[in-house]
Amino acid sequence: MKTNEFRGLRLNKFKLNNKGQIAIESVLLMVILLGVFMAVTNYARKKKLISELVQKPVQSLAIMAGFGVWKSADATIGCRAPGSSAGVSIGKCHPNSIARSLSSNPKP
Amino acid sequence: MKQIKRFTPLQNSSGFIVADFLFAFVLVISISIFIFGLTFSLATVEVGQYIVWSTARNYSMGNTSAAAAEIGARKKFGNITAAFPSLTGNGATDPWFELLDTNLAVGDLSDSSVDATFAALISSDDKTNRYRQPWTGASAKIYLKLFAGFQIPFLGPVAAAKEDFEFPLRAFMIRSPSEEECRNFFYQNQRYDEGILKLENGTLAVPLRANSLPAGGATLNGHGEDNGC
Repeated sequence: MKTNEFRGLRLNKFKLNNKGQIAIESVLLMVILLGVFMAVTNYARKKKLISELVQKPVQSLAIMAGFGVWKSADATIGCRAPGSSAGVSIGKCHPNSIARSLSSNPKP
Repeated sequence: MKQIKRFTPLQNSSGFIVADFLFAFVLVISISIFIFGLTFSLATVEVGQYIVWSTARNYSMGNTSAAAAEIGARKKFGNITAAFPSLTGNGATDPWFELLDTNLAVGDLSDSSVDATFAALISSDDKTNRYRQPWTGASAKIYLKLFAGFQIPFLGPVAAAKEDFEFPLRAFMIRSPSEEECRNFFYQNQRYDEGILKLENGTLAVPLRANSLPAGGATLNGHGEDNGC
């Protein structure tokens, strides 16, 4: 018998399964992951992380190849005069600048 | 009657391994190329150092004159770099590295006319101090062209400043006296004038020179320090 009684939402018009949820969640995950990826790569590009990672060791290598020491070329933080805290140029730190300890008249 | 096909998504994970493989393959190849560029550059620096050292060694050998020694050293540099065209750019159109004779300096590197960069970084005391080794040798610039040109997708270039990937290699070795210098030393009275005569007072009682023998036999044989001549 047909009645006019309200029975709430007529759920039988909608699908009663969770098919499709994976698609929506996939899109959501892709957006989030892509966003994080873009943010990280933008940060890396802006801060030049890769070149910083490579460039400093190459600079150290260049100083070793040219001046024979693992020091910074910056006189304020790199090479020190013997027995002193005063900075000197990187050329002064070359092993060739060290007085020969076996010379006939060694100098400090 | 037309039959409606129902949507049937994949119910298994077959094929997933293909996507996974492609992703891993690209990642591994990319990292391998980066590591290859780095290690190959380091190895080439070693090769370059040997070439420069060999040039300095050639310059250090006794020759007819200092100028001839420099010509010989430059020839040696040219011969070795020609054997590694991809590593030095000598004879290659698109080399991975550059170690060119246009940047080669041979001789006294403390002389600003030979190697101005290096001469500016050592003190005047070091240039003349007799307690130091002479700054004689060879210098050449190497350019890590391959590695400096790397671009990593999404992360940017490897070299922010490409000039940092071009730096000098130096090798120092004392040069042996040349034939010309030995002749001058012995034949122009310099052995006496520049050597024995300058010894401290008293080490040689009386100068002993040909055609000017001192009077008195007692002073003929003084004590003379061996000055290495």
